[in-house]
Amino acid sequence: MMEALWSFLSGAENSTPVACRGSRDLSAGALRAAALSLAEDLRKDEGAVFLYCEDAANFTAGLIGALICGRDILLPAHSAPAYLAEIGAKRQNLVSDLSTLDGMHVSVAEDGDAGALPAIPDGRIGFFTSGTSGDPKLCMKAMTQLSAEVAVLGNLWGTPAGAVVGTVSHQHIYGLLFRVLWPLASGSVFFSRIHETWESVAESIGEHGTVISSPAHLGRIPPEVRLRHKPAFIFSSGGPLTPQAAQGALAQFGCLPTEVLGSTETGGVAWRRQVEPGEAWTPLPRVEVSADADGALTVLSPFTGASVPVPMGDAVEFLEDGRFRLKGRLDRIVKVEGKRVSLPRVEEALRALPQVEDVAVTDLPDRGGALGAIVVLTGEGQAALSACGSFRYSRDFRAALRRRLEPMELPRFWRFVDEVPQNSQGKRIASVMRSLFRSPELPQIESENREGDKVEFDLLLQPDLRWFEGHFPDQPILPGVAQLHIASVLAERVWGIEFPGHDMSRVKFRRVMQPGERVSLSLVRRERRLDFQYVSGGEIVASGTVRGLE
Amino acid sequence: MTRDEIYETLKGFLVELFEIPEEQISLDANLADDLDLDSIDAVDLILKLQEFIGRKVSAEQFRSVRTVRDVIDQVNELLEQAA
Repeated sequence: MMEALWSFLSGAENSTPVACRGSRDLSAGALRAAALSLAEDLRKDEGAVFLYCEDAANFTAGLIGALICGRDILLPAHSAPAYLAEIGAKRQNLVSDLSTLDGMHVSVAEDGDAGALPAIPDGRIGFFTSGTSGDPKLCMKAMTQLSAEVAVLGNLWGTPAGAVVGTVSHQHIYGLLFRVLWPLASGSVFFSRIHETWESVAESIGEHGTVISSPAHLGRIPPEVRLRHKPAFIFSSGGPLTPQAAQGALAQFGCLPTEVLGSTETGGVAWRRQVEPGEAWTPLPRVEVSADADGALTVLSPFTGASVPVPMGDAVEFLEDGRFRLKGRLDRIVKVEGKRVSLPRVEEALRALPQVEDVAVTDLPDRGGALGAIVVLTGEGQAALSACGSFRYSRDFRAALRRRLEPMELPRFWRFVDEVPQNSQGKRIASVMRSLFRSPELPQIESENREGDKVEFDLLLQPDLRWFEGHFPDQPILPGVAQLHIASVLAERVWGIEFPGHDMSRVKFRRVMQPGERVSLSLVRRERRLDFQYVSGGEIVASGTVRGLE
Repeated sequence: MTRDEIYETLKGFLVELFEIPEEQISLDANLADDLDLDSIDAVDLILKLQEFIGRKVSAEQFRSVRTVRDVIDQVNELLEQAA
């Protein structure tokens, strides 16, 4: 099975181009040489290898090198050091093309000379996804599952005729399959660098090019961007594409995007092109879809790695011809005051209003489960908002929704924003949505100056700090307990020591601190003791000592 | 507790529970028409007041309430009964 995935690369002449880096071709020989050289290093150790590369050619060399040595490959979603440490990547097991990361290095030169690759064992590959809670979650796949899916892409859409350009990362399954493995297996060429902007896509794309993109990118095509060549395909995955975005891409680039429904767990499931808004999905070849007892879409295919149908969490409705429509996430049904409320239904009602461009609705467990709405307004809506203020405007929304929704379904809290927050895959993470409704508990840090055991912060006590609520309604002040809390949280961030705050001495609160005030906070650590001092307008307003945990 | 203190506490509740800007709250503000509180909001407010007064309060006792001033009157009366 793995033969098919690597046979083109393995058998190609040294000089055959397999990828482009900017305007330069990278050859099969160069890619093989980099893979074999890395394999030499990886053979000396065992266990899983973390692979993070910015460049997809380097990535491919890293992937093949690790497979040759029979080591599992784990793909971090990004390269933030704290995140890498959290998932267990370290110098000894990290392969990267970033000089800023400590680990083994992989790099594909322009040319190289290397014979055919040795037999490549099947191997396993793991993707880190963010669950709905936002914590990194590992999903392991057999390389044979990916290989089976690449074969299906080839059967369905043929061989990419031109070079493949991607706006999405190969560290995720969709980018890896579509941007890298599909062209590589079929003898086409892929651009090794990710194209973050449409301007850069326009510079790179050649004749019959294929664009691998996402709803996040397709929803934001700058109006002045033109492509020299009409793409053969534009793919989109990671979430549904709005009908406007699909039609917008068609109007501007002459190509209606092909959407692929799938997830890391299930692999590809179905595809569609939105000729009409809300077009039904056609299952991919070799994929059997059905509905479980809850009405959720389930998937049985060689790409899932499971022998029983895997549920996807979307409510599904089948058409007679075998196609299907999705009716919203089942896990997006929440209970408000004991009554079941469908968040997609509330979002749909809001989206139907002329002032609304985009919207996300979330339940707020911190606020007794009430709903919060995050709304992006149209130009007309923004004018109305600045005319009457967010409170009055949110009440107008509630009044407008009353005609369609039951009282429990009405959002109680409202945030008007420029953009609904989403991660780089275009996913909306519930915990991030909810954090928009939480008042901040730390002041805004305007500057930070650290020297060894001493650190000084300039802080702005913004009026929406949680601590000002209820102390006291007519004259809010920053309570002493909050001053201690802020000092110990910032100290823990700097030195990694917890200062619980109950073991304190010499604490003096000399003057109150008020909303909007700018203060400086100096922290001095002596072993496990923390001295703090707040200064405002040249005078010490509070000071004391807190003892830290051993 | 004075009526002024009750008013300040009530303002704090309205800001905290419903994100009503403080400057929109006045003694004559009508809960339904000016502050747009609906029946569910009213239940939330009564629960909060119950916590504050320290004894059970029925929705019945707030049936005739229309304005912020009415709420203060009602709370004042309940506090006096409790004393």
